[in-house]
Amino acid sequence: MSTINSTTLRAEGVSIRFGGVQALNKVSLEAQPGQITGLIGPNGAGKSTMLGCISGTLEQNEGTIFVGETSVGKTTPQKRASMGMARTFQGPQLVTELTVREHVILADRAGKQVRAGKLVTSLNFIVALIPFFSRGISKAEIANADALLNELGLGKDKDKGPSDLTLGQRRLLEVAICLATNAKIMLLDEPSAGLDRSETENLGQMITKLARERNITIVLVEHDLELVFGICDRVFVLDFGQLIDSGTPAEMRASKAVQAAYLGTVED
Amino acid sequence: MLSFVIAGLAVGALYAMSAMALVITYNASRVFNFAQGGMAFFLAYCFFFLSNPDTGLGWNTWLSAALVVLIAGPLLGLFLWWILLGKLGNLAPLTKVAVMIGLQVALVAVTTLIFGHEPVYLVYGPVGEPSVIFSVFDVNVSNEQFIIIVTAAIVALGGYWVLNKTMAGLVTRGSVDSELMTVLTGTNPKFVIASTWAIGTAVAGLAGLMVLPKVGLSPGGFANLIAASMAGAVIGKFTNLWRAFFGALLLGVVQEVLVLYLPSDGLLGTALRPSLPFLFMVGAVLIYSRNKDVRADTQKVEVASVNNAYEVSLSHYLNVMRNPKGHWDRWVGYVVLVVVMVGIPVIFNDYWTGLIAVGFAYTVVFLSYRLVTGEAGIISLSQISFAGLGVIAAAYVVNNDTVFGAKGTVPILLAMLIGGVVAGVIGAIVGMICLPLGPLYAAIVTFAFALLVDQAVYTRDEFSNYGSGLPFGRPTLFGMDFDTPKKYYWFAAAIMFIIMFILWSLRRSTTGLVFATIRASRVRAATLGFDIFIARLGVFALGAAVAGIGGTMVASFQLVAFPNGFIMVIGLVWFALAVAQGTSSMGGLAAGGMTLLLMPAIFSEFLPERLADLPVLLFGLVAINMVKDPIGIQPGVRAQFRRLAIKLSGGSTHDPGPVDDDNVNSKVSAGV
Repeated sequence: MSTINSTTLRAEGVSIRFGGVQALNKVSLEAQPGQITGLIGPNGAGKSTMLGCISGTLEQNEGTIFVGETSVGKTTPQKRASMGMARTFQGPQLVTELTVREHVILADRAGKQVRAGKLVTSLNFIVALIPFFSRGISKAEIANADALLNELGLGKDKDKGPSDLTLGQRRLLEVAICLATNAKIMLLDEPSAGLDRSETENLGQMITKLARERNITIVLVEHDLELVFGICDRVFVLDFGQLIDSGTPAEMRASKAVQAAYLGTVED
Repeated sequence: MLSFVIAGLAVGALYAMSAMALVITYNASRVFNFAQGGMAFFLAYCFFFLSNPDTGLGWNTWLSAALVVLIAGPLLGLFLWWILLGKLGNLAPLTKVAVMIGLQVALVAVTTLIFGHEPVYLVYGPVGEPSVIFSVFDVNVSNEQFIIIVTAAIVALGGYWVLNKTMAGLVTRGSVDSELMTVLTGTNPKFVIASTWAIGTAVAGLAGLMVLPKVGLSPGGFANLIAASMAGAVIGKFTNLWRAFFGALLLGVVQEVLVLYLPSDGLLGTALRPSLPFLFMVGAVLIYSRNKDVRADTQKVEVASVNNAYEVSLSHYLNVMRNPKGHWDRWVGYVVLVVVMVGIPVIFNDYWTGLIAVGFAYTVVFLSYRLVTGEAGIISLSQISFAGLGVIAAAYVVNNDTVFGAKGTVPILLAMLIGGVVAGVIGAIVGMICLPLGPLYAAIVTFAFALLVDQAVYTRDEFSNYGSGLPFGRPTLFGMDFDTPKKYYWFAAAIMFIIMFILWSLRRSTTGLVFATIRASRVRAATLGFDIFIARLGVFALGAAVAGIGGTMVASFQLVAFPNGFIMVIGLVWFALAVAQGTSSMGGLAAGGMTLLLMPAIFSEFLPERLADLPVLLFGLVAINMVKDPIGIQPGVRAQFRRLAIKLSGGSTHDPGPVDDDNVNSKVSAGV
């Protein structure tokens, strides 16, 4: 049995139905800190739905999610964020009114705020109403945000709004937001879609560095199998809402079940 | 008892017809018809003009009714669809509501401009003078009651039959889910939607004619009919014809039967019956609140997307404002502001200076829209009620012995603060009911709340002082009396700028960034750990408090707390004006507050009395203009100034526009 740390993420027997469609059926997986756990499968396999259940944006019908030894059950996304969870979205959820840099600064403050607890958040709200006490953006925040954006290749776009970015850049901004929260568990939903090969490689290196150096638990949902097999420590494969296989990238590359899910089987 | 049930069935049948009209149009267009009261009011006036022998043409009442319901009603629906309603389909909820309220305001103003603005209270409907036609168990049934009940039943059965048993109904229901599928069946979806507007307007007109003997020809009476029918529509979740019909019918019956059991005076006797539409709505909403489509009916729309017309306009505006050049233009604005502020009391006499001072007070009320709508993204139609409740509370503590002091001893400034706090607390309670709901439900609940306050609170003698209002006074501060218009001008300006400073401070704080996120994507805000409900509730209560303080400033200048200046019908004009100017823009809201006061004053100075409603028509039309310019007028004007400043600074104002998501997506899927 694997070790359970405070940021080990486990899903046990998660099922969810949308009307008559069984989107996930008793899916279990585990992701360890310092490692990248891949979640792959053909279109409609239930990968993003699984991330929704883990992050609390969707409510599963059965099963539960554990962070360390603590069951997060059907708690709100806010509660999970306070436990150190952050995620990106396949369809970027960005704010037209904020610049790229402001998104990162907001995420940085969000991370600090959820770690500080509700009381500080409430005080911040009250302080915000007092002229001269409300907090404008500081030079240090700008410097930190710019450093992160430069690392992701978004430095030159820091003053743009999200509507001026390409889809690939928007996805990178999603990753930047996730990183800026300083979360301990990160759920990345197709971060490389829309990126070219060199951008994807850069992203892969960055994710690997994060996992190893900051001991972050990363769950990566991806269609780019080259990226997944290149950087993941363990891979879970879904098809039609069922977990069909799991193992190391090499094992999954060789798995007949995985090949059948992606390529189909030939009837004898 | 039976006589009350029959009377209730007649009243309920009226509500039910109107509720069905709301459901029919919403079913096909996904636009909630806040302008239905205005449509019915216009058609009722057409009927009055055709049938009245004294002031109109004196035609036969049945012929007049048939012409109005079968010809004028559908033509009005088609005309409005052609020029406006057909363009609303993909707009954001706030824009849809603002445009429909603008249409309501404009229709009422057009009607009074054409037919005269004096209310007519004694009007017969198509049935004419009521008379008993038969008895049921010794209870007399009038011809009017009989015809209303039978007509409502025919409309309900006809509507059900068309929607559920005919090809036309199938196509109508299909066009809601997929216009493309409707096209594939060989039917033009625009024709389907236009037809439902024609039918819906005709049914609204029919209900309008039937309700005439009860409410007369006054916009307020029609607003009550609409509030009751909205309760039916909410019970039917806007789409279920039967639930809407029986819900509205039940409301009418309960309203009449309660007369038997309630005392004739006291709070229960006077306040419960008018409160019923609101209570029915809240009850339905609480029962449905576990349902996701009621909780957040437009979550998909609220997700940031450059394909949304609002987001496109906003990104164009922001691109100009983010241009590194030309930022000196704001200093030009500040200098002009200081010169104008100092110049007004010097140049203008006491009358105009006082009017501008009241304009500042209204600006404070309008600034509450910046908090509620501009920051928290809530469509609130009850800001005027919070202002009115603030006024009532402040005047009450001044004119009665309370915990704050004996009668006449409470300082006016303290009373104004108490007014703000009371409004804020009531705002928090209303917010708890409507904030977990989707934007449309929240708008309707606040609309019903505003009507509830009109009928159950403002009518109470201890607040209205038998219609003449409670006396109120001017504040004193550090021994300084603000007892002249020019002194009050500076007092009102100081309060306005302090509140503007607080709102500016809020926007640049973390909380301001959080609200920007909540408006764009609640999923994003939730996963970042922000408590959306508490944040929105806090800002909603704060908005109510600001509205309350603004209201007390108006009362203080006028030296009388007159609740009838804060009724829902006026509140719709406020909302239309605030949203049309731009709820995110403090300059826009200030322009809204000043326009509200100054334009009617200027018009009444230079134009005949008959055109008194022309400013209201203009307010409605600027709200309708949001179809073209969803972010409001003031941001557009501001962007023009910045463009000029950029050009004068040698910069370029070229704006390539937002990147097209669909185009990017297609490139991605094609492997480009």
